[in-house]
Amino acid sequence: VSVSRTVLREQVRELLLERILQHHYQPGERLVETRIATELGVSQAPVREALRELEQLRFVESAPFRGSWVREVSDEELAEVYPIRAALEEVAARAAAERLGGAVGPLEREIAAMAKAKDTHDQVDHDVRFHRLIVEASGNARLLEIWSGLQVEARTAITAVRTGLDRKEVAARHKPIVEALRRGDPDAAGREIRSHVEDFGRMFLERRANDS
Amino acid sequence: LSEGRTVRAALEALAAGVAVEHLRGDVRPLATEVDAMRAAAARDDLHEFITHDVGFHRLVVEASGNRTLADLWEALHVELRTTITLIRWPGDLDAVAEGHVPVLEALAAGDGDAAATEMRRHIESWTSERRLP
Repeated sequence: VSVSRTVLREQVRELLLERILQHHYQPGERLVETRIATELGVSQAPVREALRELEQLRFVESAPFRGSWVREVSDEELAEVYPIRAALEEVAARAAAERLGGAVGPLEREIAAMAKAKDTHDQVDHDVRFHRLIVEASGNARLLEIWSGLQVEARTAITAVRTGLDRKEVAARHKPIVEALRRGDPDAAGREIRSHVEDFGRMFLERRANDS
Repeated sequence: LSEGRTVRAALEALAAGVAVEHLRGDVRPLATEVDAMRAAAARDDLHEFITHDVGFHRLVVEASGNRTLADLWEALHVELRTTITLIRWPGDLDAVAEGHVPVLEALAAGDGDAAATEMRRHIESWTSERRLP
């Protein structure tokens, strides 16, 4: 898979996700691969892959000979991932605190990029990269594999749109994690990343309550 | 501690901590699995033992009410991994069965923090006792 192909698939997935979340596509509405490909001026492959990823996220359902359609997803379902990420990233940050040896430069660069992000997409990109760097730094390949399967990119995009937080605030919320990692303090690093992720889970559901 | 086991301990500690809310102290299905583990240990029936060992853990994960977590746990293939572990490092099945009791007791008492701690200890200690990689 070439880089541009990956990017294309991600762009298609993000666009479809945006349309589902903004109810441009209604629950039950069919998502026809060929029609979407024609509309977007891309081949069918990235559309098919994007639909498959959205199915893993449970935003889309499919059946043989019936194609794909939009599934109604509750906010409670969307919120299920936060405690899971909190638990996994706590494990990651504890290990990373011991393995990084205080070298937090790359993490600080992601925070700076988050604060200066030109748009939500860019902000989400650096946010996810920050968390991925910590999971990678754990040196636990199994953990990275499982974390990657959670589709953190797409979910973070939802959270960013939903919470609508100022990007400087989002960036600042990552700083206590970096401070703990710089000190090489596993307990603090684990605690900080856990509450960081849990806070976003809470804000996600609260924002829903405010909207309705 | 092996990579997979660290992940599993974290996920099941999370599940056990939340499960108390849904179980409301009714741990009969879990107690049944522990009894079945004891019976299988007495007969030295490894296959049956694993079925109920994994059954115990699956019940806890399902009691979390978090479907995303349950899907993720199934993808860990705990049954297969437990089988491999018990075949490569055969041990005292009675002791493994009894190792579930502190988790069961914490869940019965409705103490989420204790349930999480005991579950983590159960999964992690089992590894260190066997000196697994």
